[in-house]
Amino acid sequence: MKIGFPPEDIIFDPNIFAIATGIAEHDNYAVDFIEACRWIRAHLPHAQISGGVSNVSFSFRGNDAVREAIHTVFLYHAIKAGLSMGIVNAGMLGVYDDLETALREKVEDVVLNRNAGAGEALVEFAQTVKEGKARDTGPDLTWRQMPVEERLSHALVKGITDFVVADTEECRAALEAAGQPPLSVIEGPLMNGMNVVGDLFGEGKMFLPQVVKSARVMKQAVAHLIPYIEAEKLRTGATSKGKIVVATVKGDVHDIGKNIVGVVLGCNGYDIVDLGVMVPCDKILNAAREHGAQAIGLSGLITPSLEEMSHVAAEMQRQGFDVPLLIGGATTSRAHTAIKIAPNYQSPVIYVPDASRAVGVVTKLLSIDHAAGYKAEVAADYEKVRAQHANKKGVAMVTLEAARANALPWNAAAKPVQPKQIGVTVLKDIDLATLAEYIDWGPFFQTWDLAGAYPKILDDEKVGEAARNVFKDGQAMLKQVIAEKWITANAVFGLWPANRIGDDVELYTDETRTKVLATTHHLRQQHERPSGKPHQCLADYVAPRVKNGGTPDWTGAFAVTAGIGIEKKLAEFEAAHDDYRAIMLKSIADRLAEACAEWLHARVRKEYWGYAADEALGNDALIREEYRGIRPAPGYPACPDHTEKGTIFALLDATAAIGMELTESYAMMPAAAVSGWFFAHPEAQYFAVSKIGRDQLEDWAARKGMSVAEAERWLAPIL
Amino acid sequence: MQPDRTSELSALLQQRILVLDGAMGTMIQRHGLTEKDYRGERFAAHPHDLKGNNDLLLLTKPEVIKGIHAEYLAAGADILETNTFNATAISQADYKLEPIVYELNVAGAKLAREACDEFTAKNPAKPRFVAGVLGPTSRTGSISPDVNDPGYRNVTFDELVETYTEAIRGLVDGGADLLLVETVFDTLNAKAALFAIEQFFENAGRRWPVMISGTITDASGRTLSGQTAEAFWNSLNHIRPLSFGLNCALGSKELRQYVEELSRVCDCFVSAHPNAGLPNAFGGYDETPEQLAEEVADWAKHGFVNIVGGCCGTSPDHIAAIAKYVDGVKPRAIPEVEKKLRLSGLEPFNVGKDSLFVNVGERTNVTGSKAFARMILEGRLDDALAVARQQVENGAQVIDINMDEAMLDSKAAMDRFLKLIASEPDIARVPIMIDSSKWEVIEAGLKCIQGKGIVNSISMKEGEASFLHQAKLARRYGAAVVVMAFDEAGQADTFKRKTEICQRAYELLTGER
Repeated sequence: MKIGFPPEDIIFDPNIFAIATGIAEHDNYAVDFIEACRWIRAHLPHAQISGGVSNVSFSFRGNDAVREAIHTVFLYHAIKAGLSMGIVNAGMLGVYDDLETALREKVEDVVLNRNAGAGEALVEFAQTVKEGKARDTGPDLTWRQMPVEERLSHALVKGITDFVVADTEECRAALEAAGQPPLSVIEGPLMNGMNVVGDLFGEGKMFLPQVVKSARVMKQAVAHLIPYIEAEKLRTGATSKGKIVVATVKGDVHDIGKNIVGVVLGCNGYDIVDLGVMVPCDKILNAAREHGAQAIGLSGLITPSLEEMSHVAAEMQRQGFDVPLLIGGATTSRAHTAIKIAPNYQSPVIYVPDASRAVGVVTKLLSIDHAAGYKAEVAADYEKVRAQHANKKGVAMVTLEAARANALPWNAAAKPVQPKQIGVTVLKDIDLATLAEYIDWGPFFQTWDLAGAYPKILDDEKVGEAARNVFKDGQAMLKQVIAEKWITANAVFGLWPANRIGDDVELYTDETRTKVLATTHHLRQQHERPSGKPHQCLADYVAPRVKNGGTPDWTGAFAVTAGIGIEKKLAEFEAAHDDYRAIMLKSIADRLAEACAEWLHARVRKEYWGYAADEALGNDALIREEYRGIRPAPGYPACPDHTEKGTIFALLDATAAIGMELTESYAMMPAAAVSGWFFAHPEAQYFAVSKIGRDQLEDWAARKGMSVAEAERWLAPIL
Repeated sequence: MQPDRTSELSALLQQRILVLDGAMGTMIQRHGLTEKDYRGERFAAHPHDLKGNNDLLLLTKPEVIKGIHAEYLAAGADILETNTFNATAISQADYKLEPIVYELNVAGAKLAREACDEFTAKNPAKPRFVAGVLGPTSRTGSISPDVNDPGYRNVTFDELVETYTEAIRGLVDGGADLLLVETVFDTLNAKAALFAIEQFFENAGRRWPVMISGTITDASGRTLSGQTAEAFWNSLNHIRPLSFGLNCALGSKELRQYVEELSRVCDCFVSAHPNAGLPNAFGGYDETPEQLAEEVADWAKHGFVNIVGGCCGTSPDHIAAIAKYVDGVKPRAIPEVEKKLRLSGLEPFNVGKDSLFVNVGERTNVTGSKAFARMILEGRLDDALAVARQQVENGAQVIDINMDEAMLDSKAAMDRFLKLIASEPDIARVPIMIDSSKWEVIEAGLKCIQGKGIVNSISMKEGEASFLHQAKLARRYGAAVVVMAFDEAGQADTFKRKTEICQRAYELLTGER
């Protein structure tokens, strides 16, 4: 049987036996070994030689100095003969030249068996040799001299658990003396240490098994603190601030980050339900329901986890959840969360970059006072990320053909309602006091560069005072505007039979639907959509035209202004160099124009069209768009094409009817104006067309009867 | 079953650089398959979700997989990888489909075989080869999934060997030309795969070429289980692979230095199939075919590689570009590498003619140290680990571990202690010497170490047959051996006995008699 074992993987152990045992046959054992080494080296190529070195000095147990000298001399000769490795106490090896001459001579006599009485001579001499000092000094502990925070950091980076409990306690006691709660040990020194670990890992200076050890040190430190934190809770009477379900998603086993988030949140008074790793979506959502969780946290390290997180978000939407969803883990990012996860779920989805941020995020999310503002802030930030991303080259797009194939299908249950009145209606000199009730004050503050949601903004720490001041002045001026009729508000709208043809909507003169009054052209989303989401187009909200009839449907158009006569007052302010009042008046007129559109939309729904005769909504509900139907305006995300205003103005004859004009670049005069479409479809919602492809540009230009070059100019922002 | 094509492959590899195919998952994604597609008729009523089980498509959508194979062959791939990355019982358990593992592997090899044979028939001057893929499985043999219990494992070496054996049988029965152990992120899993392969070869009475490809997972330049590239090579070269290389995790730019390192140390052919760049924020890959091909071609021009291809995010366009760019570039010549005892822990440790004396730490030995024996008997394993750490800090380049104590379940103690050491990078960086007079204890130890360690020891005490059996097994586990000068007549004490026994053992082991 030949096995072809590689010679370089063979290590011979030719047996090291004890010498100076008093038995004559043993005297030559060391020499036999050394000579065997020489022979093996010469005759058995590539093989290594090893031995258990301590055996040789076995007779001198108890006298480490002599044993060490024997080992040193033995190795000196054996290594020269070819011994390549030895099982030794690495801390107990001397240097041949450093040995005391008398001792070395005696030892050498024995090892090399130079004379018959050598063994006895060494035994005798050994009594006089003082105990050598052990060179085995133990681990390097100089780092113990550092301040306690640095020691904790060192222990985390090096993964040393030996002192961590003592150091954590020292730190806790010191902070307690300074009036700090036990939690501050975690939030301060421990998190700092873990951040160092994270940085080193990112730079490739630590690798995974080391990071796992760091996590273990962290756990021990936290375990020591938990009783103190519990006691602190009892003392301060703090109760649970809320329950949070956390899990590493299906397909992923990484949980260090998730565990730390759990601990940190737990320490901050939240009840954590940790579902562990590889948790399927259903289990997460069932647990969230069962525990009445106020937030769900998902973690993952590998890239497939990203898709699973999007899936969980979509399921939360489908199953009607509304609690915030937190996203964390090494491969997750703000961009991915904003672009791929958040669009699947209407409630907040928030990226948490590391455990130290988790507390801040959760506290704000679950706060009664700050939640709305924070959510709005994050939503705006993510919208920005999405817009930036959409602007970047290489956004995943689908062809127009594919986008149309994924249109919102016509829902037979939509059952269009015939308007009570077909044709154009003009409403002039609308009561400003009535419109004032419909004002959405939110955008008013944006005019003044004050960030925050109304009415919370009035109590905001930073901008609250400024907000209160402009609001007070605005309210005062609004009273004057109404009382002294500084401006006039007019509206015109029309309702017509209509049907969809492709991405266009045809408006007809009457119910015979034979004569086309006008054709409106709409744009369809072409960026990649989450699975199950349609590629939206406004035309989809109108029933399709089918040969010999199809479902009859209707649509509308409107134009309103609250800026008639404003020039006179503005001229007065400008003459007085009162820019503040000039801007204030413009912003109030803008608010009134928007209010007028809102008021008009409500009347159309309830009276003129009448599909929502029973609607009874307060202004807050109106602002939240809790009604059926939409009134998208050209130039806004759902309808980025400004030229449609030309069609609207023509249909309504708006200039003659209410004194509104369009410039050649389709800006409305007066500026405090709104124009747009009415769609009554129950599923109609606002969306952003964002980027479109070349195929749609060409198709659209042809439909519009425009050259592609001209079309490119009008649609430049979305190409 | 395919004939042995080792010499044909070796001859080709000396003439030119061979091209491996690209990503399968990326291509499958393009088909936008649904749960229903994955299930097909046969698994329509299966009680578990099946979407994402790409290997299952071999049975439910074979035309999709074959189409992708054909696209890669048309792009110029010489070697096709079977779609069996997750066709092991451990990975299929996630879908409750363990019973079809063999069937999946047969189907995977057959489908690739058909595609290859069609292309070879069209152009016999460019023969195509099927690489039967053995993936890493979804579990790790040397990393604890529980941060609180570093000694815990959710898969054993024997379980890995068992499922790999089943997969190998299927791949070979389906007509694979060679076996490819790939995307190795835990070397212990790969060692189990190689153990299964070697055992399978012995039973089959012949060999197939073996390719091995590991994964450097992050900027530290190490595998997930913490090994450097050279340590990784030292741990797995005992199978004498046709090729050794790296794939996945990194893009070509980041992978370059590690491919270069392997090209220097490996005395076999070198392969590399990088991802199309690092994943972007959405888990997608951005490197274009030209970008990837340019970098890969540069490796070829520098003489780093013999086999190149693509991993995650690559497409037939990438492979076509790579094939075009490396066409006519001279393949790497296999270097003469000095014969050395090449060991590894997390880091390599090589002992050659010019090496200094090697200190093997002796304190983690219950027979030699009373203090250590007490720690083990009393279950003070943290203290015992501190002893091991201290030895490494004091300069031990290898540590000897011995648990031969009458009051101890030595096998369990060896297993537990080595698994704990695996979680201590400060200790695990050095090779382990597994020391026992009982073979079963040594074998238990060999199943726990991802590096190349040393068996201490074997001897001819019980005759030649048992000596050679143990040596063969030690090698199959990827370890070097200490051979004690001990024969049927006892332990050698004189120069004559020592040298006679060593010579006899040497000749028996190396076959040079």
